[in-house]
Amino acid sequence: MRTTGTVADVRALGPHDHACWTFDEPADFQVAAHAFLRGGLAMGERVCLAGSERDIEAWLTDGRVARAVADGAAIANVVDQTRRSFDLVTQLDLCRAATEVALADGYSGFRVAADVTAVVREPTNLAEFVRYEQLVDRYMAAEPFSAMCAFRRADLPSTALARLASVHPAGNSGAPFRIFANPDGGTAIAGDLDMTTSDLLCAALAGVEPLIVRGELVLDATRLAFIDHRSLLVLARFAATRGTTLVLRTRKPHLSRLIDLLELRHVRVEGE
Amino acid sequence: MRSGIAAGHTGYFHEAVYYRCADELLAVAVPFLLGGVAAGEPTMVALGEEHAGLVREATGGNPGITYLAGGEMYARPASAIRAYRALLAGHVAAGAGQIRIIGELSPWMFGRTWDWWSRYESAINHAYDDFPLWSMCAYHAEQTPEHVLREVARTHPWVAEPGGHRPSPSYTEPAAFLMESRPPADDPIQRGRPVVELTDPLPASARQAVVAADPGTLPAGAVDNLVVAVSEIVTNAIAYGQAPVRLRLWAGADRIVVTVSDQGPGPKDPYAGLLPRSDGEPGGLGLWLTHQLCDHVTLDRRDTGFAIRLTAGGSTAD
Repeated sequence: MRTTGTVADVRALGPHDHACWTFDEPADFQVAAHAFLRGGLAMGERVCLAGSERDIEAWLTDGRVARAVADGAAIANVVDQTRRSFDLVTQLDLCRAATEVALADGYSGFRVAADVTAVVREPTNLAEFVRYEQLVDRYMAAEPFSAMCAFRRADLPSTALARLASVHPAGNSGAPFRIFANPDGGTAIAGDLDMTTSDLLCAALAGVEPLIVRGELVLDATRLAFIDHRSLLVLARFAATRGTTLVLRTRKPHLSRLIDLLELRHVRVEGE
Repeated sequence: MRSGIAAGHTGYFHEAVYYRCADELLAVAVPFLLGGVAAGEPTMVALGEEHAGLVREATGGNPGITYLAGGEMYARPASAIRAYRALLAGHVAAGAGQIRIIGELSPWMFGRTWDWWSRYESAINHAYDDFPLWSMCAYHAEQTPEHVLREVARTHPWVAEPGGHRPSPSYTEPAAFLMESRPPADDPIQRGRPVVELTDPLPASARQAVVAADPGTLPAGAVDNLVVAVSEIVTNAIAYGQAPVRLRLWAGADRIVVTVSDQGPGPKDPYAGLLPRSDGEPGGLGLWLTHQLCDHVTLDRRDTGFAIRLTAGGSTAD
């Protein structure tokens, strides 16, 4: 079971988890990242910190970390803070390869804490990066790879932060809703969907590669707390444009009534 | 081909029947129904149990007459319109040239919730006009409250009498009737202080207010439905109304009442709430869903703004 929703303490995160971590000061990032990576080392994972030179320096002052780096259990990567370009495919391949190598080297998994503010600070990278987050999330749901993606609040517009939060299953700040991958390759949607999330929802759906089984697109809505009729129509269209029936897994009885009233013939509810 | 008085009429022929005793009702109902059967038209009775029994007896249990069960269909005006439109469309698809129905509202509908049933009686002139329907709505001339009879006369273009049919002089086109300012009577619970007052709430805080006010004594699903309705109405107020939007909530042991007001003129569509969409105006679907999900919805159009009152639970009678 992946950790979902608002998480105050990184120590709650385990294999397969994927958290959006916002911070104010570099020291805040460092404290959270060190705790997150310590958890990985304790579980026999290979861990990696990607951050500024100062982040790395601070990390390596811990003797256990320095030893882990020396014997290959920990990797320190300096992220170029002036970096402008971002390539989704390359980044995805790096994560996959690093996870596979970690497993081949006998580690139980691979865990990364990364300050990726510099990448998304470039507005033209945002859409591609969000898409990358969604693709890597699918990989994480299935493989023993976990990540804490950190973003410095002051450096990013709130709309970008909201968009990033919406494509991570977990995070340290609240998000109205979250779309993420399930281990079975399907997509889950959690939280509240209403007029305030309509743009975010459309943006997030654009990056979803839905699992379609026998003409049905299943969305795991078991953690969906609320959906208004407009958002339901958005989900229905999302399935309809793919020529599929939308199946919402939920125990909320009001959803069946809404579907019936709106005469959405290609949407149905499936209890757990 | 349509038989009877509605021959040559296109669309809905909507009549009121005023009776003082059962015999007067039967004097109109029986020839109406038997005429429909003789013409081979789908002929239906949607009367209460007592009157339906008398009609069955007076028509000798004629197998050409179908008796509709009221029940859930008449729980809410918007549900009745939806169910009747589906029923009528089915008969037309099956080749019916005319459909005859005689029905009545239960006396409890003349109480606190009469305002939405009067809107129903007006709106169906439009909502059923897609069909070759001839219907009669029976009202007791003496036992029905005066203010109800006045609105019946304004919402039924025709009156059926034992001797024949006459137009109703005070009939008002639905598009005009429904846009009138008719402030609904306050629910007695509104005389107390609201337990919640919010100005310009987001839908999420409006939903939270409803959940927090749940007395735990309402029928299953009533609060969930109200949460959906309040969210839709606050969304509409933000999107199409004029700020400030005010939400007030009262909670009693048997019901929750929520009012949402804004400074705008309210929906431009006269049928908003009773029909899912009639002119493609945005927001119409949310208001219609609200009419399907709440136990009572009032619309209050005034020069100073527009207000909606939503009720979950509660007795509909008093």
